[in-house]
Amino acid sequence: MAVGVEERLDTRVAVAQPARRRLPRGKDIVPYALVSPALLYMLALLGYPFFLALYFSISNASVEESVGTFVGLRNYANVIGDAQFQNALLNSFLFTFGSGIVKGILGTSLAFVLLRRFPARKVIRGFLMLPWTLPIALSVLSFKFGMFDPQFSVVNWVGAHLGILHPPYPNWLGDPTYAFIAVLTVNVWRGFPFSAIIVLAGLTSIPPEIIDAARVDGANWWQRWQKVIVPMIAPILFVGLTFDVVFTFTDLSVVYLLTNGGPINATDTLPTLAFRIGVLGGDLARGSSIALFMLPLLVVMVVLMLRSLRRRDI
Amino acid sequence: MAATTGALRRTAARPRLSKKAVENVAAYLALAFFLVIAVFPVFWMLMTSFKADRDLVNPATIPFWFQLPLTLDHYAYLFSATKFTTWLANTFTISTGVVLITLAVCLPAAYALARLRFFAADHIGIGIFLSYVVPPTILFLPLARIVADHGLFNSKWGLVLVYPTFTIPFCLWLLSGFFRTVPIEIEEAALVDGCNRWQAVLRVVLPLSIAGILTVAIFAFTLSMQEYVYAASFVSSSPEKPVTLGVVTDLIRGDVYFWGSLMAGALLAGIPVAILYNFFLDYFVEGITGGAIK
Amino acid sequence: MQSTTVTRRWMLRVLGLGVFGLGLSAACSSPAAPAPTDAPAAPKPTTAPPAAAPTTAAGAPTTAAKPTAAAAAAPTTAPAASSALGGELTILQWNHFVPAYDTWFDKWATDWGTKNKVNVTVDHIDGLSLLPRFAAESSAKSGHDIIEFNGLVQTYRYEKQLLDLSDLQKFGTEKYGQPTALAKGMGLINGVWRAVPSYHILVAPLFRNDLLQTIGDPAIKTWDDVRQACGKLKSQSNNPAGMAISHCNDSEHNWRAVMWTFGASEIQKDGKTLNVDTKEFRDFLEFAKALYQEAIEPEVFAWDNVSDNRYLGSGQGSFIHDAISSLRSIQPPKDKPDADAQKLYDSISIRPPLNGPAGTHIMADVNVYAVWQFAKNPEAAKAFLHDYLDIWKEAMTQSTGYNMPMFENLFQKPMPVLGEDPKYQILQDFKGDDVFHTFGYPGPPNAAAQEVQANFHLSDVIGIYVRGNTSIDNVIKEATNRLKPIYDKYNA
Repeated sequence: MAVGVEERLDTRVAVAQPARRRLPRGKDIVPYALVSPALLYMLALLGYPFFLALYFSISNASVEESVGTFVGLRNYANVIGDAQFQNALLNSFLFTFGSGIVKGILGTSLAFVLLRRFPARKVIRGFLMLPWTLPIALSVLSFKFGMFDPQFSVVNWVGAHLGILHPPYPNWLGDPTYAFIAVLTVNVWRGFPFSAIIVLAGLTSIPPEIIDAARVDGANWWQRWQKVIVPMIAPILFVGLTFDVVFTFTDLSVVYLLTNGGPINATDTLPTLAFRIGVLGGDLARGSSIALFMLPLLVVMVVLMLRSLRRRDI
Repeated sequence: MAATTGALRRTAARPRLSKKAVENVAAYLALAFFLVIAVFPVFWMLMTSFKADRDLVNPATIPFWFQLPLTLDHYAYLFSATKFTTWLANTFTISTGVVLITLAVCLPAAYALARLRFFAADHIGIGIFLSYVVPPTILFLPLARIVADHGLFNSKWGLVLVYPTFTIPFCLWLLSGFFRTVPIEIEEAALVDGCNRWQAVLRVVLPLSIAGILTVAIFAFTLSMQEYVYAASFVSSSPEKPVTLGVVTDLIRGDVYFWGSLMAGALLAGIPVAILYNFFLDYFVEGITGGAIK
Repeated sequence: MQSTTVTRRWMLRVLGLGVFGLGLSAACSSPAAPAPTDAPAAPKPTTAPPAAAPTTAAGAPTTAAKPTAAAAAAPTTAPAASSALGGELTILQWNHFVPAYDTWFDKWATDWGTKNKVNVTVDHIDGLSLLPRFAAESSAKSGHDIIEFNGLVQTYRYEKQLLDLSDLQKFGTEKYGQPTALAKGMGLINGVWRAVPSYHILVAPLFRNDLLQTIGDPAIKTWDDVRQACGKLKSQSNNPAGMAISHCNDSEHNWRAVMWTFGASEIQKDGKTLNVDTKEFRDFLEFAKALYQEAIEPEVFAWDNVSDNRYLGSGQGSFIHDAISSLRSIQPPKDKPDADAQKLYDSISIRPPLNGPAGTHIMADVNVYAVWQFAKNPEAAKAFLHDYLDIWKEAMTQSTGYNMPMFENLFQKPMPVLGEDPKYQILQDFKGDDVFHTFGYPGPPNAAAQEVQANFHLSDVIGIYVRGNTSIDNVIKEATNRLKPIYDKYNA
């Protein structure tokens, strides 16, 4: 084929990308003045604690003696070699990307469904927002005791009555694998409405003519998805994915309230481990080094995603 | 939105009728599936808040249905024996304060990012993400010192001071997205008409972005309402607690969980926000669209 | 590639800005001396710290004790309820497992406040949240006046930030006899009482008599008897024992009790040398595995502090090792009789402490009251604690026998509540310095031992082994790897 379907789709997409325009550049300091309140607020309230936490991690600070003495990178070295840390690191990645993928799939499907017009659409949308808007501490509690409790579990009850579960029922929070699934489930349940909204935003930003033209060009569903839709909503997807990754990676509440890292460290993540060692155990230095370990990981992830986004743009 | 839906429907209707029917059925099935997943736990919470105490501890009852007559006791307990209304008021105060600070700080910055060309504009975007990367698990200790230095320890105002640290980044991005959706020609026209830049902003840009501003406000409101770690660390007096903290700490006494009231509190706190969200969802979507376009 | 260059440059700029910001905010907020502008206590002494002044008792009602003066422990004056008290008094304690106690305590505190013209506030948070809360207060050098440690007492850790309460303890000794070894272990640090041990919580074996009858009512004296009896009940009628093996306090103190009856411990008497690579510890692990596999409910890996109470209350559990709050939560209230609940309640009995090859040992959770050095109203704090000690017996009654004494003579029979109820009478014999210990036994409950427990290392080690797919040597190695770094830190 001389000019294939795919090439034609690429051209269409390139032409359709909105141009960025700004007001002509001024020499004054106005922009900086406008941005400075935000910047200063963040630096003052986030910068100082952050550098303090950084100092904790290179000292031997503890909760009662937070002005410790400098020990260099010893904490980081100890932490890296520790089996509990490695386990938590792996879990953090698995949870973040595992739930991210499921949320992405569910969110995308839901977004397509929400594009259609159906009766009571607004009301149903409201219901679909409930997992996201209910306070996280309380919804996790209800999962712990309503869905996964050994004796009162709704999941087990439904499963038993549908005939797909038999005693002994899955030990939801007591078996390592099931506990992992339970944490993933709660994460996904909370987050998929938000993912759906992000994807929805993207989908509604695609001019319908592009889709029509793509059909005219002879593209099938998969080609349309891959060559037209994804490139056009890539910026939005990227932002949504980045926020999701960052929020899930650094989240303490779900694991802490659901399993507290159990059973026996099976669901420990970096934040829960850092909290237990640093605050409950009192070893601020070690806890900070675990918590701050997330920083370079996340920076690398964000930069990589940004790069791949930039490369997509023409 | 309607145009897109219509376009998609039109393009779907062109082939044979049965394909459209199949698509419709699939879509409704999917919708039902999502609704059940999303709502079922909430339904359980709802039933729990109305079930009689004995039903709650009886493993023989159907978990999401009831045997004994439903009761309003848990709601009554919530309002009479705890400071629930105070907590709701606190949450409202805190979230409103946070929203005001966030908007005050973000409006100028978002405008600058959206419209003005200056160095580092692109890269403040990265900075925004990175500020979420610093985890509250350790941050709350040094923050405790800052909060105490301002005499705000154990007070809801301490939370008002601290919460903007996680609302500002996302709201900044969102708000700059909204400003970008305001066509630049309108502003240029205002400048040509003789307004200076500030008048242009006040008279032209802001009114057009009211929806976006409100959306950002709702989002910041929700983020503050959800927060738990800082609240649990900085506030211990019952009258100062926000609703999430209050419900969890005061309705779990040792090994006694006041399940009915816990769930009642959760629902009363969460459902109004869901309704609010629903109103602004369309604008929210718009803002994300605008925000992501570079 | 241009984007890379700009990103790197941007990073450098941000770092530079960050350092600038740090300098800026460090200059603004001086952590050493808290900003004097907003201390709620209005008169702040700008002169020399009040440490040595004997006028503190009769002086300005609210003297803000500056943390910079904290280095020299304020000498304690006679804490007789002074009529010159005033100002505010804030107390932070846990949510008592017997809710009625909190109701009584809060009222008593308010009445005390009215009588002494002090505005008393009692804040309650759940026990688990106490630790981060104390960390935050210690970091902020600001918070409540009186704090209550529950279980994971951190008097060793915060030693230098807690007021000397020796005279309060002296008053307690005069009234109630010598403090128990448990009390001394928690409160007496380097010769100074940094806390007033207020009560301890007993954890006792709770058995379903009716279920035991079905297997011939065997005598239950040792942990091995439990293994056999509950093993039979598990296979015969699905009524296993329930002992948590998870990240919760119950798990930590239950298994320590078992461990000590085997003569094993995670640390030696000096509080510094690890003790896990011993025959006793191995024997203990083997027993734990046998106990779990034969007699315990597999869901215990997911349990929290409440789960065993609920397990007993559901009727399925034949044995739990827990405080009497579990009984109290089954007992139907007098105004709402419930035949089924009453039947269950009546069928449960409290048994004497279980023993093992190395005798009888039980772990108690101790609650102590301490006063921060930076407390804003130390006089009122001490007066309050003095009067609380004075009515200790009343407190025990209000707790329905849950609060156990920390002074010898308070064990005299009949004890409040326990002496009158045949079901609980046996608890009066739950005493003896050689039987009741707390974390860190046989060493002191120091910061290292507290850190070990707070991180749930013992539960983890047991959990890893009882699961069955690790060799015992590997588990011992795991235990050593976990504990050694912690103890090395403190021994350095």
